[in-house]
Amino acid sequence: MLKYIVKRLLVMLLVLWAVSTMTYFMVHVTPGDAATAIVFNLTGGTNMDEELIERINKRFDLDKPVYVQYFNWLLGVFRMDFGISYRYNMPVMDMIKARLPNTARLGLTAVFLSALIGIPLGVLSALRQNRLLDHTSRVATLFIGSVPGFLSGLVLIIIFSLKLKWFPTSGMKTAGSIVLPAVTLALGMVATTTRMMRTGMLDVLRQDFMVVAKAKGIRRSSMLVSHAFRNALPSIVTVIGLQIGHILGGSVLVETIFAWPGLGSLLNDAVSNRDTPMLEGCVILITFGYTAINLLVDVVYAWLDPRVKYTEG
Amino acid sequence: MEPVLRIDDLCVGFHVRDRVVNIINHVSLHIGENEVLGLIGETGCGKSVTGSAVLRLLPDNAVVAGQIDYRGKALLPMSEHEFNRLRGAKIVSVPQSPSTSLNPMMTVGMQVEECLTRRPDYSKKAQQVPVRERVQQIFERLRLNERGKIFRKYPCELSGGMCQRVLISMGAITNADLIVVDEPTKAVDWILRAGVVDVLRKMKEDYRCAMMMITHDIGVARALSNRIAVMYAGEIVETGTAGQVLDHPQHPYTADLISALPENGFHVTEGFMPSFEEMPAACRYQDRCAHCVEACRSGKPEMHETEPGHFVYCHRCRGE
Amino acid sequence: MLLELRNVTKTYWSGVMRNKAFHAVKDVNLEIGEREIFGIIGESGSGKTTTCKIIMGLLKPTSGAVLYQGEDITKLGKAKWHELRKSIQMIFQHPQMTFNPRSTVYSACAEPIRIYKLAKDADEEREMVLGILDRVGVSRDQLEKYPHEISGGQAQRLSIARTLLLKPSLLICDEPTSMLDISVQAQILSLLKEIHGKENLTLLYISHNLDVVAAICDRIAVMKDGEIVEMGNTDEVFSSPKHDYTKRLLSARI
Repeated sequence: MLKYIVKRLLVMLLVLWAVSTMTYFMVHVTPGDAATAIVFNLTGGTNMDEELIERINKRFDLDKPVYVQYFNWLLGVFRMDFGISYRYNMPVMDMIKARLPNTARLGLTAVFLSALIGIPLGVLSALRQNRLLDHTSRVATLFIGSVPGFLSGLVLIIIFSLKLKWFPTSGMKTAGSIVLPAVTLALGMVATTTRMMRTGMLDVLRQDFMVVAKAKGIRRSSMLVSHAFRNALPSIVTVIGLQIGHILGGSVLVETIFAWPGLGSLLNDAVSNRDTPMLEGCVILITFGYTAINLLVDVVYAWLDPRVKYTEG
Repeated sequence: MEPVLRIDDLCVGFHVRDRVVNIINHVSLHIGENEVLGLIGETGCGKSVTGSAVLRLLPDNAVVAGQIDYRGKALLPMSEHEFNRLRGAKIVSVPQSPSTSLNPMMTVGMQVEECLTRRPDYSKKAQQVPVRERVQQIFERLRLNERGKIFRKYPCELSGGMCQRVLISMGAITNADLIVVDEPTKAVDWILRAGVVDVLRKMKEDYRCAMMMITHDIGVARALSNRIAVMYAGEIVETGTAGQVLDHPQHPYTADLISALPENGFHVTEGFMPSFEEMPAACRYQDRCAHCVEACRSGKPEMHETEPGHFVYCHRCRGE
Repeated sequence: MLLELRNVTKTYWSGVMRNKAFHAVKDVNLEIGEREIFGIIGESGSGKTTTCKIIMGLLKPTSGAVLYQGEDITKLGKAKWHELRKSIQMIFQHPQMTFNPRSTVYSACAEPIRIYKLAKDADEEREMVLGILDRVGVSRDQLEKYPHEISGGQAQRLSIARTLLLKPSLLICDEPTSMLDISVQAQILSLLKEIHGKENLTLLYISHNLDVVAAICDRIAVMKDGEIVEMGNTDEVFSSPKHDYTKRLLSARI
């Protein structure tokens, strides 16, 4: 098992390095001079002073060759120092630290809601395959999942915020603020969760050992839980892991609609303002989160399914 | 004395598209106390379906008629709940294909233990010996080495032979009366085949249970069976003691089957077993039989007792 | 001598430092004469399949030589092997798996004809396919079926048909009847014996089933853990085995 984890860790480091390097060079190669952009932001385009641009260049080392900047930046990354944000003039790490917990809370709540509905629904659909419940759940989840996030978010706001006044329309002020954005995100994922759980269960139910379990005369509940569900778990763990990873970067839309102060909106900001350090910091963090989750999923999968260690490990 | 298992006039068919295809056709046989009945025949002749019928594990589209009695109790009319008390306890199965019959994500020890502990009628207090101890004893008896450590292993960590012995343990642990063993040596290496036969022989001696040994391997049937029933195209064509059937076969199919063995010169019988959807009326072996006469095409063969205990369903044996 | 194996070894390296050696085949020496039926007995993992692959040119040995009609075929290039393939053919344990599941039986049989351009046109090709099907006893109505629709026995006959089209001199049979019932096994063994007699074939028959090997092989070699532990005439080896492993195999006859 240890060998398996170590191998995966090495791959993860490689991926991190590759993604961050690619991002760094892509940003630095795109047209537009960073110093000019910064001054433009600061002064509103009114006073494009040459000297100011020069000072900014020196301050942020923007006049040095690209590879020197890259190297300095890489060193900083190791120390968890992503530099100063051009836009906010504050350390990038501090800003990320402030916003990251919010995104994490939102994401995990959403995944939890999606699993809460998706897993039982998927299991029941599989057990009652091709009957009314199965067809209904499949059509319903497909329909709901097809509605784009911004639309479902807005609809939810209209119904539950404006009309029923149960939840606030935006922001993160009250305990109930998390409900609508989390539900919006969950709705987008519940179709996949249900379907994958259903497929996973169906796959297991038709295996020979299920017939053997019946032949042994064990209780139906044991058959369903210890054999069927337990064996279908690895597939759903993978799906949920991927969903968590996706949430980390993909909740930009929802965070914007609900004005949720998270990482996604920070990243969005950084892109439009050409706030390079912030951009790179966010990308690294999201990549790190994604690969870490993937590693965790791989390890959990290997723990759940002993065959993995023996064919790959 | 009441036989442990009595099958009377069993008919099994399956709903396929819009009709019912008949597979098992009026099959009757019985197994006595401590007796091993070898049920032999080609792949597809219906032997496994017969075993599944006894265990009531047929798929939903199956249509079953006839009678199956366990110690005088009719099994087919029983409720699922009532039958479940017998299945897995008194009537158990040793399935084929160890690679797919074991749950890959559960330890083998657990899979044997749950034969007792996960049944609805299990009571921890009622156990004289702790279940785990019983499992270890069986593993030791069946020569699954590393007694303590095997319990926690997963099927993927064990060889094919060891997995087969785990399956046999599942059959042995409940002290069953009747064990339905399905093709224990299919796709198994030469030396392993002898090992499996050894283990089954030992189990028969130690546990004194009746067995229905379903196999297409005549050598295995000869080594383990007291009596043998030969099945062709869903029908029993001959039954008798192992010696009677294999040394003096009376039915042309049995004779052809035995002469097809490599040590007997691998004689070829032309033709193939007819498909169940296009089964000829009267004798099902008529198109391949060297001794076919007019009567074989017009009337169903009746049962004749050619010597005490040796029964044949063939027109040829009339008058013998 | 049609086929000679001289000190053939195949080693696989594993481990982090590539320092753990596994000898799939270790120093194997054997000779097969023309028109002989030579058997190799061994359990799974004994190296018999690796040996077959080496003879077929699918694997290169780590050391040693494989002489076919006097020539070392391990040193041949692709072009020469293309021609040689007609001469050395193989049938396998799971015949249905050796057919492309998306091609019909007809296409599968016609494939060798097409690869080696044995027929002038489509009509001659069809004639050849029908002819070979009759030869092996497969009825013509099977032509449009797919591999999953035919039985194991028919699939094996078709494998044999496919190889016969190329008129090979050496036919390697890797456990061709392990998955088949006794009656179907008898049909395949009879067919093999018949074509051995009529088509001037040499057979290399691999099996773990001693009864089958005793029934058709003239000479046999017993393999264990990559090595040949005993070799000789079938009758001699079976009546007076010298190696412990051979004795063990014989005692496992039930």
